[in-house]
Amino acid sequence: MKNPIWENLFRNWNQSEEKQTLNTLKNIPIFYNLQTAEIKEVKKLIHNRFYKKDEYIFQQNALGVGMYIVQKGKVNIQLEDKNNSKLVLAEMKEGDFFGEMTILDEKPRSAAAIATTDCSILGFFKPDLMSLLKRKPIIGSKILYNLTKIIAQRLQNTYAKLKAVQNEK
Amino acid sequence: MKNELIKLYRLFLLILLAIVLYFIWPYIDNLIYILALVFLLTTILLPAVDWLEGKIHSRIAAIIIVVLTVLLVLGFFLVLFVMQLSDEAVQFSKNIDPQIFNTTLNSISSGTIEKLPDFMQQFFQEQIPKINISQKIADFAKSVISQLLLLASQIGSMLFHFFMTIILTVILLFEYYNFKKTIVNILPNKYFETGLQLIYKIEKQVSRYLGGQLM
Repeated sequence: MKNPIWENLFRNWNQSEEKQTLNTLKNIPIFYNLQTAEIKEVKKLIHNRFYKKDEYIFQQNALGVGMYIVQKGKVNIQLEDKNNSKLVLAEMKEGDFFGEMTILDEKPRSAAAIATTDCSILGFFKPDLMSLLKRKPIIGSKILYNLTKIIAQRLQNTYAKLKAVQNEK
Repeated sequence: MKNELIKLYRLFLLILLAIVLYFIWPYIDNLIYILALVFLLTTILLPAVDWLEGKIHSRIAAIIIVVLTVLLVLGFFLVLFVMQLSDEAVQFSKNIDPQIFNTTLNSISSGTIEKLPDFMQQFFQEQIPKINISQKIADFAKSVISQLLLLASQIGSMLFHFFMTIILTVILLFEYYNFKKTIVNILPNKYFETGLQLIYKIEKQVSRYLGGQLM
């Protein structure tokens, strides 16, 4: 039985996992166009976490500090109401990321994230991005640019859906 | 039941840690003070190092420049202070006229002896010639040498602590983000985001407070 505390504490000792983390990061749109040396710099700020099945990664309405990337396992993004009924909005698998909006604003989480299997998750947080922007402005700017592109893409998708709904009416 | 056992186990560990710390504290207190100072220095210097790293794209160069600048500024003020102190001492000694000083001392000593009762005046007149001046000077020289040795050892210890603090500060500044990551990794998942926010806020506030105090 894996213990999350020990898993989290000694995670950096595993070299193959280090390589795997690098590969995962390279395939995340937020880190596109980053060279290997730059990805390695980002990796220094990434927090590897281990979550057990049914463990919350973050709760709904909790104040968020950053985004998460699924390295292994599956995560559900779900809405919970006062009656404790849950509505699954999305199922995240390996390589997917969520919670990136909190990098730009500090509003509470609109949904909860819960591990549906034992998971290995990478966390990237706003204060680390801010420090990266100060120390390595080129890398920080690339990440912010990618983040802006993703948000613009989502806005376009939302607009297209809205238009489709309007046309149906 | 299991949770209570875990709580009891943690409490036992905490008490054990406190007992061990109580016994080893006298041997490690110096190290702890150095580490505390290193942490404070790192917190103060980190914003400057980060800013400079952004400009020159080399962390180690940024650290060296910042640390050297701080040392130079401190050294400059120390030299300025010592120079001013020695100037004051020279000025003070110049203002004293040796002849007036000797006359005043002699008149004080003769005046004091005159004021003493007769039997004491007689005692001083008999005893003063018997005092072994060379022995007194040798004793005085010995005590001065031993004091100087003590001072030298204290200066040596101070220099050691100073250099250790500087070296550890440089190391911590260089490895700061890895160090912070290791600390954050200890946080349990349940309190991870809250703990992270707390650490970042404390770090920011402490840095601002210490920077302000330093200014």
